[in-house]
Amino acid sequence: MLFSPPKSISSEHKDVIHDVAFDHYGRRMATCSSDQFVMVWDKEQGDDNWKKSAEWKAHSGSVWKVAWAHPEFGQVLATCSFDRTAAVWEEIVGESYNIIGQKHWARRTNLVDSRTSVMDVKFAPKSLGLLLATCSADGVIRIYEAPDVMNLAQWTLQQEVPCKYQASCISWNPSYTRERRCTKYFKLNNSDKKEGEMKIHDLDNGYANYPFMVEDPDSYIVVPQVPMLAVGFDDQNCGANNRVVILQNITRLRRWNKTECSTSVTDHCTSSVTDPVHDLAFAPRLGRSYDLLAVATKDIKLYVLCQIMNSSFATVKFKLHLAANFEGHNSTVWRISWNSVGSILVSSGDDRCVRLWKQCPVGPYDKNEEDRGVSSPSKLLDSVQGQGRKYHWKCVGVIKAEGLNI
Amino acid sequence: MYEQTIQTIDVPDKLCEKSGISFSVVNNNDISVFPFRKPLPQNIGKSSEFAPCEGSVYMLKANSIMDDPELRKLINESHAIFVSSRSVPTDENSKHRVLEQSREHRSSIRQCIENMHQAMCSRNADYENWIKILESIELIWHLCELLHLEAVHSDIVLPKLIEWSRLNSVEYDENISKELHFGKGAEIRIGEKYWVQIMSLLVESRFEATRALLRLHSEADSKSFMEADAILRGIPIYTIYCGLSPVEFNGRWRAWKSMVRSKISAGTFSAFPHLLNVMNILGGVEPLFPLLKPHCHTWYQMLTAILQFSDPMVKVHDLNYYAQQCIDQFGGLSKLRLLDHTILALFDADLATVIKKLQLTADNGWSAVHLTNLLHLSGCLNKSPETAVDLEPMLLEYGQLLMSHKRFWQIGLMYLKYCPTHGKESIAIQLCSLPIDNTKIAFKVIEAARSNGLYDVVKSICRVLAMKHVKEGNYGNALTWALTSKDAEVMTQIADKYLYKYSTGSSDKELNCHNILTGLGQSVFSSGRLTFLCKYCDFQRCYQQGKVNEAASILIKLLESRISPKYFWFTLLLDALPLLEMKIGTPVFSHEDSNILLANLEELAIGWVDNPVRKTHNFNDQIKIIRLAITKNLARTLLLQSNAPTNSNTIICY
Repeated sequence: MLFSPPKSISSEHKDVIHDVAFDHYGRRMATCSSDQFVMVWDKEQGDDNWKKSAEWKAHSGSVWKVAWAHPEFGQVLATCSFDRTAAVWEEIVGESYNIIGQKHWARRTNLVDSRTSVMDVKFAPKSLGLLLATCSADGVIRIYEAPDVMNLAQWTLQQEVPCKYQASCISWNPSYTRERRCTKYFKLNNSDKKEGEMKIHDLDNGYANYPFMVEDPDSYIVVPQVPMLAVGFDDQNCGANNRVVILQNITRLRRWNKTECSTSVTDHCTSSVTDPVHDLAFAPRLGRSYDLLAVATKDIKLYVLCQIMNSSFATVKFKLHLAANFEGHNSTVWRISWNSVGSILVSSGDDRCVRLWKQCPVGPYDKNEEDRGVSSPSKLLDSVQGQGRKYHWKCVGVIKAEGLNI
Repeated sequence: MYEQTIQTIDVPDKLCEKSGISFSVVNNNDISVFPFRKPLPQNIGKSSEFAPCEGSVYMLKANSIMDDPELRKLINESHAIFVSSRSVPTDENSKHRVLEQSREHRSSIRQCIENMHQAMCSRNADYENWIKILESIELIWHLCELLHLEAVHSDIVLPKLIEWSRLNSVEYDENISKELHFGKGAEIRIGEKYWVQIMSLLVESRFEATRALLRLHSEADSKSFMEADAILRGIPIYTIYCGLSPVEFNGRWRAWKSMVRSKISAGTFSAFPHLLNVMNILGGVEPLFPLLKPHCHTWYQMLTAILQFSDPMVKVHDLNYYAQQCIDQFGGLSKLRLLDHTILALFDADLATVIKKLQLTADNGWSAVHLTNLLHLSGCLNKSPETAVDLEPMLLEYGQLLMSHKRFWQIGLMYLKYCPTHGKESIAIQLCSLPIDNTKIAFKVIEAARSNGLYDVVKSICRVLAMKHVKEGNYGNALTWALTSKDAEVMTQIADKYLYKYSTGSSDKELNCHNILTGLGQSVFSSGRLTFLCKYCDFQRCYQQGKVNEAASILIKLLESRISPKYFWFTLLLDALPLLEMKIGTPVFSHEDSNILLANLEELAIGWVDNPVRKTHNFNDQIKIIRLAITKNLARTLLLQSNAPTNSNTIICY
């Protein structure tokens, strides 16, 4: 990744910016700040200039996060704030708000169920309809739905999931599509057990292989087809087993339940998150048979989440495995995110750097490059394809904060 | 700059330096960063320690080969070759075809370099880096083509290596041809430069040219020079067509070599130390390396020279031995750059490493994808799991990169189509995130999605466009998009929204829907609400054309069948009012019809709690008027019906 020199846009916020969000096409930008304002910027066609098209006081406290809904639902934003509310905003087309031609954004609803500061708000993937999830400082996760997408004023609280500890972040699994009904599964082959490892039998393409060993003999990997969302907690008192909670929708009951994730015995000690979680992000699944979940704590942990069915087709359970540890920041990591196709993972931390991570081929001369900030629990990736690692995660770019030398 | 390096970018911002930094992903390649500090728990709710401050957001655009006009041509040309390479089934001719395609690729690289040179002259564009990168790629590609894509006859590689090294060092040719042109007698040729030129020709095994240059020497008529000329003339060169078996050739070569050595030891050339040097090289007299070193630019140039003079029949698998020796002469393994490593891997026939190295080139994976594709098609790639090369991740990365560009997405699509595991999903995601600026692009994208069987994508794109038009109040266009994707859900939503708007006072002209609704045909039936809407339009049309009876019967059917949404009943009843009040001729509504109207009216008047229509202006007064009209109509029809001769004596009364 090579970048051209950064181009600056003066935000005109009067306090620290907390979040910047881009719309589906990367052409509109929403910013929110401690000054309680939200601003929307539009990229002008043809060139790379960004012009402010709206600003308004959205809350009566710091605005923590801002999120765009999918354009299928129109130009819609959600914000959450220290003032204990989350709000949904819609742009009024054709109506200029003031003389300089700025757009008017109308508050469609105010979600006031939380009794504490609302820490994060995220829209669900569009295939679920117009859904959004919020999480609060008191640990309550709320899922709201707009049953009529033409009427954004009407939101119903679908469910509240209480989780005792202070929640910090939400990530929906983007890979749920309602249309695909068939279930894919792969047999885990137990035949060449001599090194105690198993491979997916059906796929001869090493790239798509299941990335590590499974203890259960003759089980199947079932590609998960349930709506899923992960919540991270940054409470100091939170136990290691509750740092990340994954909710899945039981369509039959129309309820969100906590997923019981078992971790494999071999990496039990490394796989639980012991430090506060500040951000997490599901990667787009593409053609994989499992999901990748990146978690930002003291370092970056990359988890593999998969659904395993035993040979008698009786039980289906989720498994969470630690696939890699990225320690490049050497400090707390605050934010983490994937690009739209999941080929690049971006993170920022207390080292005042933004780092870009990418899966790169391992060359024979790269042996000494392996510790460029990524370590992996030894057993996992060495057995990736049973033939040594061909791909590994590597830091491919660093963006650093430098003061002006005046 | 051949290598792709980890880039560190500095963001010059005071606040960033004080507070720290965070980011947001713009799209596939671009990133924005902004100053950020997570507030301490005790500071939450207060303004931050940096306030008042004005944070800036910085946009970082990823550079790619798509930004450059010359490289764009390269992308397009290589795409055409890629598609043709994939569209023909493999048969016995395929090896030959792959070779041709490889040459096409190389010629487009050469063309690109040429264009860049021109651009540097004409418009001062800075292409130096790119020329270096492309030259390195071409060098590797050419060698790979000679060693792995072309057939190597009886494992003898030297002729190919010579061809390779000659093509890639052209700088001397011009000088030498100039010298030859001036002819005999000029004084400079006795100087150092003259012998340097002769040596450089020898290194490239250009013996004819060496002879021509030697003949220009002022002492060319002396016995020593005549002997040298005879030796050079007689040098055995192995070609497939020379008619000799490798064993025969070997015998001849040895005989020639011992002849050279005997002449050297006889002191034939001792009068001319420079000529003696030349003969020493020809005779392969040790030590060759120090003699050749000053005349070779690279270790691989030296390799071909060494092989020519010491082991012309060298086999592929022995190359590594000689390569190591040459590398030692040039400072050993530690001095090697990426390019050298790649070439060494090619000599080792380790294609997996070659490709891995190519992937590190700063060309966004362009060369790795296309070369691997050809190697893959020609069956050169090793099937054993240790050294297997996955083409898919390369295709995927390259295709994804192209697809993120509004100019190249159709080309990127072609590459992604050949990714069996991740291709389809990737296409779906990226098609959806293409900005649809106008209808033309929309149709292109929809067409691409359809032909790939991605109906979800078609649906999503149409929904986005439909919603855009709904928000602009243009229901007709919105409906067209919903119909394009046959999306019943959205059709219902739009029809509903339309009816609602209409019932709350918007005219059809404002909603701009009439034209679309009249030409719907079959698709009306994909959504119940839409069917109703169309029927209602039929009613309006009949009414306007004066076909009152037809209009009345449609209206009654709409009310009776109860497919109308409740908020629309009031509108329907209002529409019935002028028909009820028609005083000319027989009443348009029969007795039964009037009863149906009345029943609907009463239900509306009672159960209006959740009905938004009741908020409309003088709802109650209107209800009264309609009720009165219905009653009058009832009375009239009752009278008419009782007077008319009828079989049934019962009259239903509510």
